[in-house]
Amino acid sequence: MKVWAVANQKGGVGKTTTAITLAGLLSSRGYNTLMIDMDPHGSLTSYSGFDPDTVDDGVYTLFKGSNIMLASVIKKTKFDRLYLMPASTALATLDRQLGAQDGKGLVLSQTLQRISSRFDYVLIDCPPMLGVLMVNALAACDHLIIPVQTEFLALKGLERMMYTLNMIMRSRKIPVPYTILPTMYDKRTRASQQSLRHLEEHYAANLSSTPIPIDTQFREASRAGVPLPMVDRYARGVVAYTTLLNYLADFDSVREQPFEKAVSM
Amino acid sequence: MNIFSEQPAVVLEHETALQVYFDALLQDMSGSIYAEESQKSLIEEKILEQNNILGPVIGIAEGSAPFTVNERRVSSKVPTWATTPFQSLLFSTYGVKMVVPLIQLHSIVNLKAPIKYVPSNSAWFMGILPWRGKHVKVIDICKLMAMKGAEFKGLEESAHKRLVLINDGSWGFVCDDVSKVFTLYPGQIQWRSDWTHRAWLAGTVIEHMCTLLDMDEFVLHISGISPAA
Ligand SMILES: Nc1ncnc2c1ncn2[C@@H]1O[C@H](COP(=O)(O)OP(=O)(O)O)[C@@H](O)[C@H]1O
Ligand SMILES: [Mg+2]
Repeated sequence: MKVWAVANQKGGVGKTTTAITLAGLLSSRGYNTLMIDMDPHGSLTSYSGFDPDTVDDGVYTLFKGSNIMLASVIKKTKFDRLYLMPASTALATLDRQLGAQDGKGLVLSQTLQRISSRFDYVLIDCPPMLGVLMVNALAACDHLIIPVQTEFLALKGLERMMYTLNMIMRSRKIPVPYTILPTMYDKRTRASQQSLRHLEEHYAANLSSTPIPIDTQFREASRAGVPLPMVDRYARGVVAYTTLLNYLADFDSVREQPFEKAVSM
Repeated sequence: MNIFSEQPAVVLEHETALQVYFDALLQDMSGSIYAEESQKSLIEEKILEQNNILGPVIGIAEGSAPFTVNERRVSSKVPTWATTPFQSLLFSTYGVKMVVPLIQLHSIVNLKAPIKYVPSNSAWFMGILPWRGKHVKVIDICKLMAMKGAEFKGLEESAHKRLVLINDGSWGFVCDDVSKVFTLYPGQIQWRSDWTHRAWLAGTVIEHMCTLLDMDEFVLHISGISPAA
């Protein structure tokens, strides 16, 4: 099982879009894929057709206790091999409730260890703020994807994210490989071009080779509640995410054929 | 240890604050003092197990079928659990010896982490201790008993080393230490005659000249008057 987290402390940079598009691609390639929504806003949860205000069990349940019925925490989506651990609005209260309680940053990674034989890929959508949920995601993942909108303000957000990441890695002890993903790239604008150049100059070693272009179909797909790859396999944005996926899969050297696994829940 | 549980005197430097926060959250509990504690309480459980008395303790913790008021006592005096010989734990708090039946206990924990102070009007409610994902409400039995009359003097001097968890582990009382597990026979107990008032003070163990506590009654009592309940 490979665990990828999508994080950036800035909102609206394409985190949720990245998580659901990669998950859609992976599941249609035949991999059992679990999406985990760690954002109290629950965009990924709503996108997948669940209501974060009324959903019963999900990520929040993991923090409540030890006796967790994984079958009720993990929901089947409308799509084959695509599963969701939903966010609920109550997630917003976790930091208040838990503070910096010892070991509470490892709740997710402990849960994932229990289900490691059931899924091929796990995609974690992170909240845009630093807190116990973000720490859990960064502690549980084997690869971190950091989407950065190609505009100047977003670059400041990236610096903040890198700083946070470095600090967490010191506590986590095992460093995590990460990939910076330029998003909403519009080659006609100077802002896009210049910020991409800035990324190439400063983060060359960890930069994804293809930026994700602006593609209005992402918003439409999100409104329809369907991952874009399931609507249009050849949309510009999907093609770019396919390149990213191949790169990441290559990185983790798991590009070989999927082996069918029955997920019985 | 949770350094955020107490009000810091000064605000930490930005980077130090973050590092301490991450270190705490990502602390591998298998090497922490909590784990040490659970290790110890496991060892204690092992010893109890060897004495063939763990069964009832676990039974209470898992099933925790509360008695109904009618079932709690066979006669007006004797609780059901005391009609046959029963294992009990001798402990001391502020130097005062007391006995509880093992069957009513959940676990015994070394008190190393600080108890989180929770504001309340009751001197006997000491606060909350995070333990294995639970928030244990911590009680000072001596202060609870001393509420009426000043039977216990110099309460402040004592150092509590242990926390005895009762019920489903959501309550616990502090004690100086636990000293031994032994069998009590119903005949060794002088039962109190007045059950209407502080029924959790069940009787006196004549041989040890100490009070026998009934934790079922105790939990009923503190759930009724506790600020945290
Ligand atoms: N490559 C893209 N092209 C156009 N719109 C995009 C693209 N990526 C994301 N969006 C849109 O931008 C908005 C914010 O994206 P989202 O993935 O929700 O960001 P985040 O999760 O970081 O807050 C959404 O409306 C989404 O549909
Ligand atoms: Mg989002």
